[in-house]
Amino acid sequence: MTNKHPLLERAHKYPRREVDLAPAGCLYDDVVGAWRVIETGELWVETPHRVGPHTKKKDIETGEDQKGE
Amino acid sequence: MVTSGPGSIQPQVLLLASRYDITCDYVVSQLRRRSVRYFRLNSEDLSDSTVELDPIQRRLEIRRKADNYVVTPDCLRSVLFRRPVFLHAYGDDDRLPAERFSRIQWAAFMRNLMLFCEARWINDPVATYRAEQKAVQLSVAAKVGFAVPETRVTNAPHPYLLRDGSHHVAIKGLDTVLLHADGEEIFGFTTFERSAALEPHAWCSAPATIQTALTNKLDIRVTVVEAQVFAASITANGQPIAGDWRTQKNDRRFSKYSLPEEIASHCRRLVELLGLRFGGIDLALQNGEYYFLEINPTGEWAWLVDAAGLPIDAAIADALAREDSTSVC
Repeated sequence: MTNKHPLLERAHKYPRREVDLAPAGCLYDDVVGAWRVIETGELWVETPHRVGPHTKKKDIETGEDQKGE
Repeated sequence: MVTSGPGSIQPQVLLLASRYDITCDYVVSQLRRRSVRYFRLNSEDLSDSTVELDPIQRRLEIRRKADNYVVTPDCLRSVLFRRPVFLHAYGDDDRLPAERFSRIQWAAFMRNLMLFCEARWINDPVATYRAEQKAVQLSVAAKVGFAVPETRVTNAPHPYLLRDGSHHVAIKGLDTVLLHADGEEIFGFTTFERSAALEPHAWCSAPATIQTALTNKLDIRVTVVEAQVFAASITANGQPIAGDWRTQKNDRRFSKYSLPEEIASHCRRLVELLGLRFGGIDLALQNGEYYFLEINPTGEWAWLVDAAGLPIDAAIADALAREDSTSVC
């Protein structure tokens, strides 16, 4: 077998990058169980600037099932 | 507050997640507006906690800093399970053996919480495991009454759907195509091709899913939470998106969409038959027919709350917080 599988042949390849998965400027509040904006003390999810993820690794397409964490 | 010893808290809702899983924050925010005791247990925080699980009495005690949480079947109403049902090897796991060992054992610990079987799981990991199998999904979807594109799962050199070179086909992995190698990440989207462009003999090394491609279709993302069905159409520049919509990053728009009741009912029934309470379903509308493409038992949804105004976070929180008649605390 010398031919590359069509799924691999057509797959997107990009440099692997370390992505900071924490919302910017936030600290995790482990009592509440959510991220809190350092500057204002608000829960990040209750601010108007929240952007929910399309996938679990932000914009890196890894499928939706978090199999690889 | 019902307690189990001085200073201990008995959660009614358990959230099994990662602290970086910010979708879980949406649920936390909604749970805080309901009078329900919840506890978010993140995989990253486990090593900093002390856990003790008594599988016979079915009692879990978690000590974290000054807090003590006691989980019992009597009090636990529901579990939001946002952890993997199994771990993939992506090819470049450079973690130390002790770290890998620890991750594997903690992942198993999370799964072992299935002993709280009376709780309402969103979703039950066993059901998730089965529902993630694409052939199972397609089979059940067809049974429910959905139109399903003609499909073969095959490694045959001349698959049925490729015999006529003029066919447009969609090819995708049976499982997520994601690999790490030499500092690169490799990810496979659904690819649309004329069958003549595919090298027949290259298929042999692994099975793939080959479907008759749906061209000129409108993508619709449906999110089912128990009996509630939320739908959004996906367009770019006001037009349907050709191919895999995930590859279209610019000017993408998600709009609230009203499904015919018959199709909404198919969606509910599909989720129910797969043993799920939640599912992200991909449909395609072509020539007036709604085709089932796939269901994601752990699918993402948080962006639809903001982008399409769909209150999925509230629906999940309602399902988690709901009190059954048998609840004692």
